Parts: sequence; structure tokens; C-alpha cells
Amino acid sequence: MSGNDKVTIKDKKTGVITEGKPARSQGRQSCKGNHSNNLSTAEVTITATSASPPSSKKITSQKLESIVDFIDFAYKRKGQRIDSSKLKKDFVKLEPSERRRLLEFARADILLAVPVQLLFVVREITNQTMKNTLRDFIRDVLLAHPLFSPIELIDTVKNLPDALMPAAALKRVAQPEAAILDEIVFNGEKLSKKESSELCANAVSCLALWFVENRALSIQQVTQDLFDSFWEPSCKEVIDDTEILRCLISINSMNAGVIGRIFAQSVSKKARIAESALKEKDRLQQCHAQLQTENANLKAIISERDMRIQALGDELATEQQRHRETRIHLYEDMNSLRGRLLRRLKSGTELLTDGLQALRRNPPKIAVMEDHAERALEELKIEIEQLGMEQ
Amino acid sequence: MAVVGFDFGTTNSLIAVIVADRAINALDEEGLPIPSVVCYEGGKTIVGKKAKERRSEAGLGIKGNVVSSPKMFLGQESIYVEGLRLNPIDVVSDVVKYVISQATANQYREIDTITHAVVTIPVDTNGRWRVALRDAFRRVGIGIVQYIHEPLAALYGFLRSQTDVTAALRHYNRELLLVFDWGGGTLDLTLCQLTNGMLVQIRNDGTSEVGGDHFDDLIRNEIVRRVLQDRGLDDTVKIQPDAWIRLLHRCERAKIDLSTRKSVEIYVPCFFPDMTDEDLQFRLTQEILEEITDPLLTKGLNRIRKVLNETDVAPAQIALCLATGGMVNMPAIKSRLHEWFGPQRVEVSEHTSTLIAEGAAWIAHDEVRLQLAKNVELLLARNSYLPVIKAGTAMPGEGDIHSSNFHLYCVDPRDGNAKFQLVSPVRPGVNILKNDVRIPLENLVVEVDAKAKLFQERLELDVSINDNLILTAHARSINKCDYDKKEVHDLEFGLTVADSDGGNKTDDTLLKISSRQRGELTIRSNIANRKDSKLVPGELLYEYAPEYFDRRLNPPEYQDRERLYYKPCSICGRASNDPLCQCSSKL
Repeated sequence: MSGNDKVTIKDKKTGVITEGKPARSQGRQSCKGNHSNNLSTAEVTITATSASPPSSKKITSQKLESIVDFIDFAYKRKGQRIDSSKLKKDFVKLEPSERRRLLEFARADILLAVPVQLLFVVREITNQTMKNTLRDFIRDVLLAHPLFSPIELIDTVKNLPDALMPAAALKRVAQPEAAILDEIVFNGEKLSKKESSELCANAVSCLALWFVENRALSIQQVTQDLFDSFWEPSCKEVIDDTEILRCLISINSMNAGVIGRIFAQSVSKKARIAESALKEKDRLQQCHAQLQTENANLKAIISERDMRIQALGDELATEQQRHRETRIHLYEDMNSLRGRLLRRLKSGTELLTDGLQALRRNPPKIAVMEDHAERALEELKIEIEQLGMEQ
Repeated sequence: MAVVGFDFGTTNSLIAVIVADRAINALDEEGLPIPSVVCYEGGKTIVGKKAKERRSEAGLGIKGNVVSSPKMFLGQESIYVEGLRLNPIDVVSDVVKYVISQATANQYREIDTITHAVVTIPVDTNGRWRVALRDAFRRVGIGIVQYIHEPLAALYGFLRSQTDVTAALRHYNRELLLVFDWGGGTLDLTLCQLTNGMLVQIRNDGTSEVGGDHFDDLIRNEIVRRVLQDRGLDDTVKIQPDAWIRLLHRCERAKIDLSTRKSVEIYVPCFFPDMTDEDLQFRLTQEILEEITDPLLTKGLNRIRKVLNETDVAPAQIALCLATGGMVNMPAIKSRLHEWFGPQRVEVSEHTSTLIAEGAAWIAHDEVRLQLAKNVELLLARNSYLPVIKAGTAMPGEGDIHSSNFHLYCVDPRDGNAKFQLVSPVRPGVNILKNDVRIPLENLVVEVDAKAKLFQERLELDVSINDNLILTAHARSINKCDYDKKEVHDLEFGLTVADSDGGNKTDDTLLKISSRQRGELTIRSNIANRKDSKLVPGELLYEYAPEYFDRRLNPPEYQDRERLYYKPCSICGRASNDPLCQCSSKL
């Protein structure tokens, strides 16, 4: 295909046929320097060559006999939608030599128009082996592109642990460093502003689809991420209502409807989540208030019990002290009584012993015994009386 | 760690402690106090009843290897016990240590560790004795919180043991209370007054000549004499060595029994070992007992009368006569007391053997401090008095000293001496009048320059009281650098009874103060605490300031009289009252 071939564009709604700009000749892309995936420092040049894809068959009626043919066909479509039914079930194998050749070929698609369509095909096919083959190829295509040369993007495409979050990666790709863009040469020239925009848009699309495919990102999430990282930053130049109306009028209705619906669903879902969260918050607040009340009640109960325990402890200490004092007093009384009785008994015994000794004398000294016995008896009587009084 | 009451008696010692408002006494197994007797036998130290049983003779002092009432030897350098030289403080420490150990040994009393004690002392002790006693206690690890006179402790214990202390204080408020402790060793008397909850000592007296042991000795000796006489024996007859103690024991017993019986048989088997009838048998009646003991009884009772006479207090003025000690159970003593004071006012304590210790325990429990009952005053020129330590001053605790310092002037240095006289009013309290009677305590004299001008000689007086209740006075003359020091050991004290409002006011109307007796000498003080010309003798003042006597200035009449009376005649040089001086008629 020459660089002067124009593309026919038919508006499905209106039926108007127009001619688009000539398609870029996607010749062989040559890289200077090493052939590693990290191309951030290598200068990439794309030369429009006459190197045509190996197959010279017509696009519309090409017979696809292998996955190579399919990929080749995809690239010939130059970013147009690809019918996934053309991909046969047995198109699973991609030899390394063919792979290399296709990658060389893919380098001509500097604007990354084709990987987007290939990714849609990957979504549509069900054969897992085929999916993996195509996905691997697309990954290699992306990694070979200078726009994905920063190490963070390489990690992101490879889904490594240090990969960027989807929104951050999309933003990085949507707004690449000027130095990277400057290094991309197309047909011996640097990319124009429009080409840069198109490249960034395709790259964002690729990455978004890549996330959907490889990280199971939801439609709502990828839509939000695209909005945050690509669409919303793009509309900063719109400054007044007239410009806003122009955008609204010129917008593609179906696309707007789809996106609007997605956003509406997202909003609705978030509203539901918010409502649910509010309800849960109310419930938790009620629960919290109830628990606080219970906590306060328990604290009051514990405090009362602590005071009661303290009071009982004091009472116990007082009782113990009283018991100790009573014990001492009782012992004192017992000792006093015992001592008194002992004295009385000893005294009585002494008297009676002397009396007995006097009685045993020859002649017996009866007066002594009489006196001593009387005294001993008197003492005992006094003691008995005293014990009776103390009772 | 308990603070206990410690009655270190002449005959017996006892510890008491208050537990839940009741006094607990550390008595022995027979419920008796511990005899203050120490026996040194074969390297062992035996204290208490076992030591007493080893006595071969009765009475106080050293008998063989037994020391009875070791506290009477305090103050001496050493004593000899069977040839062994001992420090009396160590002997006293042995008794204290034993009494403490007996008190703490009994787990049921729950007296764990004793570190401090309120210790009772007889009223007639001097400061040296108190210092030695404190030393004896310290050697056993006991600190003496304060000393209390035995009668005061007994009175405090009596009041505190009343069911309604407040009612008792109200009943006896402003009344005179007589307390005496007639124990085995001493008779101690204190006349107190209770004023607004404060017990104040008015007069103390004591003697060791009429203790119960003396009575027992007297009775014993008299019985032996009469038995020997009845049996026609002389005093050379052999008596069993231990028989004296056995007889003494029976005499003690008889003395008690004769309070309820008219007569008792004194019987001591194996008294005369060489006789056919070797037993001693004697019927002792109340009459014989009174006959034997009357001299001692009279002597003791006369001491009571002496205290009342000296303070000019009639027996009828005594609201309470509290009698403690073993002797007060003698019918003769009881009847005499009833006769003097009336049976309603005589209180013979049931706890005679424990009341003093209990009183000390109450004092320890209530943490009451001994206070000075009467001012200690300095006699100044013109017979005014300067209180150097006021009544109501709390006595210092263990290790403390209360001291005061005074700067004074010599009013009349002509005799070269500054004369300090410390006095104490008869009336207790701080409300003392100028003309109230004072009793001299001590005199101090320091040299001054006889040629010095009026008030030129400066003097200093330091007065202090230490924890042994010794008042020490140091007097100094600054110019001559002379120095004198005296001590007073027999001050009188007061106690605030717990549950009272306290205070130390005395009712001046109650106590009649007897006037000074005729012929009694008193010092003419020549010191003052301020420069006041009115204090200077008239004749001396005239030498320095004759203008002072200008009639227009109205000089004090007494100084003018002095000037005229003492100043010699300027013409003939004779004294103004010399009849030979006719010079005034010649003018």
C-alpha cells in the first residue's frame, strides 16, 4: 500500500461517502541501538519502505490459513474492526521466527492502531490457547513501542508487583514525556501534534483494553479510569457554555449514550452503595449508641460493685480488728481468771499442806489446821461467790 | 511497734498496753506483776519470781546473790553482789529486759515489738537517777517517751478507766485530789488539782521508810521476838536459814488475811531445827498487828498530813483520795483514811497492783504530754518576778531540750555579786499574782564589777529543761566572765486528760495560799530585765543621778526613803538611824 492511497469513509447513518486522508504507510520500523524492550533511550525511526507484508492478497478476500495470516490481515486493516470469526480454531501456533517477523512488521504501526482491534479479538475468542498467543504478541508489540519504554509502564504491561495502578498508567500513557514523543520518528519526521494525540489515544485504548483483559478490570472501572486519566484532562480547553454545547452536539450519540449509561450505572451503583452505606452508618450509629449506653450501665454497675467491695473490705478489716481485740480481751479475762484461781488454789494448798503437817505433829497442832482450813475454805468460798457474780 | 506503759516499781514491775480502750497487763501466770528482783547464780541471770524465791532474807537491797529493787542503786557507780562488781544500770537493764521478754513472749497479747515506753517514777527521784534509768532502758533498746510520777499515773489511769470519763471530769473539775501509792518499797504522795480537764500537781512527797516490805520485816521480827520470849528462848537460838523467808511469806499472807479476819495462825514448820518443838506457831490478831505496825503506819499517815498542812488544805477540801499499792488494804490504813476524808471520798482501787502501769499505758495511748504545772520564775529587783518557763509548757520528749535565754542588767553591783533566785509559785497555772507565795528553787551568784555604774553590768541567764525533767540554769556575767550553774530536779507537772477541753487555768479561790512564815530569809535580788531607774536602790541612785530626787519631779517615795535611810550622814558619816547622829538638829 502506498502512502498516497486514500481511505473511503462511509457514514452509516447518513450514507455519505467521503475520502479520508491517506493512510500512513506502515513500513518496517528500525531501531538503533539494542533490541531490548526498554526503548526509552533508543532512537526509533520508522521508514516508509516498500516492504510489503509478505502476503499480497487482497484484504477483504484474504484466505487466512494461520495466525500469522490473521495478524497480517489485522495489520492490513490498519486499525479497522476485525472480524474474529476469521480466526480459526486451529490458528493457535505462532512460531518464533514468524513472531519476530510479525513484530518487525508491527513496528510500522507506530500509532498503535491495530493492537486495539487485536485486543477486541482477544476478548471475543474463546479458545484459551489462541487468546494467550495473541495476547503475548500484543504484549510484545506494546513493549516494543517507545511510548511504553519507561520502566513503570513496562512493569505495568508485564503486570509486575511494582506496576502502576490503572489510572496512573493510563495517565502516564495519555500524557507521555515530551522526550519520548520527540524520539518517535515517523517517516523521517517527528510526530505532529495530531499524530501524537492519535498515538496517545490508541495507546490509552490499548492499555485500557489490556487492563480489562489481564486484570479483569470492570467496564465501570475502566470507564472511570479513562475519564480520569484521558478524557477529563483533554477537556480543559473548554471554557464556556458555547464550547460545551458544540461538544454535546458533535458527540457520537451511541458512544455518548454508552458512556453515559456506564456512568449512570456507575452513579446509580455508587448511589446504592452510598445509600446502603448510609443505612449501615445509621445502623452502626444506633448500635454504637446502644453499646455506649450499655457500657455506661456496666461501668456504673462495676463502680457500684467496686464501692461495695471496698466497703466490704473495710468492714472486713474492721471486723478482723474487732475480732483481734476481742480475742485479746478474752485472753486477758481468761488469764486474769486463771491467775486468780491459781493463786487461790496455791494459797489454799499451802495452807492445807502446813495444816496437815501441823496435824501430823505429835501432839497434833489442831489449832493450826483449824485456822488454815478455815482460811482455805474462806478463800474458796469467796472465789466461788466471785465466779458466780461474774457469770 | 507499741508504746507501752511501764511501771518500774520498787517491789514489782509491770507493762501495760491499751487495746481497744482497755488496759491489758502483762502479768505472770498467777496474775501478778513481776518482782523487781535479780539473782546472779553461776553465770546465769534470774529475774522475777524465781529470783525472789532464792532470797534468803527479806527487804530491799542486796542479800547474797540476790538484788531486790535494783533501781534504788541507780546513781551509784557500782554495787557488789557476792564479790562481783556490777553496774546498777546493767542490773536494772536485766529487769527491764526480762519484763519486756515476758510481755512479748505471749502470742495472745499480740505485743510484737516494744520500742518506746512511758515510764513511771517515784516522786522523790532526782535527775541523776532519771538519767541512769533512761540509760538502763536504752541499753535494752527501749526509748523512754516521757517520765510520769507514779501517783499522777495512777490518777490518770483511774480517771480514764471510768465508764463515763467526761462525767468524771465534770464531777472532779476544780477539785483537789490526793493520790498516794503505798507499795512494798515507797510511799508516794501527790496533791493534784483538776482544772478544766488538766491534772496539775500541787505538791509531791514521798518516802522509802514506810514501804510494805518494812512492815513485813517488822511483823516478822516482832513475831520471832515474841515467840522467843514466850518460849523462853534467846536470840542465839538456831533458826533454819530458809525459815526467815518462809516466815516472811506467811507474814505477808497474814497481813492480807487480817483485813477480813480477827486473827490468824502463823505457822512455820521446822523453824528451830535444834528444838524439840521445831515449829514456829504464833496467833496474830488484828490488835497485835496494829500494835506492831502502828509506828510505821503513823509515820506514813503523817506524811499525808504533812502534805495537806504544807499546802494549807483541809481534809474536807479533798474531793477524792485515791489509794493504791498493797498497803492500802490494811484495815488500819483504810479506817484512818475513812476517818479523815470520809468513806465516799476514799477510793481504794481494785487494781492496786496494776493501776499505775495502766495509767502509764493510757498516757502512752492518749499521747498526752507532761506539762509544767507552775511557773519557774526569776526574782528581780523590787520583788518582781520574771517567768523564765511558764506553766503549761510541754516537757520535752526523748532527746529534746526546751531552753530559754534572758539578757539582764545588774541594778545594784555594790556587793560585787549579781544574785539570781529561781522560784516557783505555790499556786499552779499562769495566772499568778505578784504577792502570791513563791518557793525558792535555786540561787545562782556571779561576780560583777562593784564599781560599775547602774545597769552597766550585763548578765545572761539560760534556763533549760531536758527529757529527764532536769531544769538547768546557767548564769553568766559578761564583764567579769563569771559563771554559775544549778539544777532543779523536783519540778511539778500536769497532764491534760483526754476527752477534756484542756487548759491550765486554776481557780484562785480554791487554794488558800499561806503567808510567808516569820523569820524566813529571802534573797535581795539586784538584777533586772530592763533599764528602769525605779528598780535601783534609792541611796545608790542618788550617787549617780541626784537630780532624780528633785521634788518637782515626784520621785517614788520608797526610793526617797531608801536614800534617806541608807545614805550615811554627810556630816558625821553615821547611819541615818544612829542615835548618836544629831546633825539634823544642828542644821
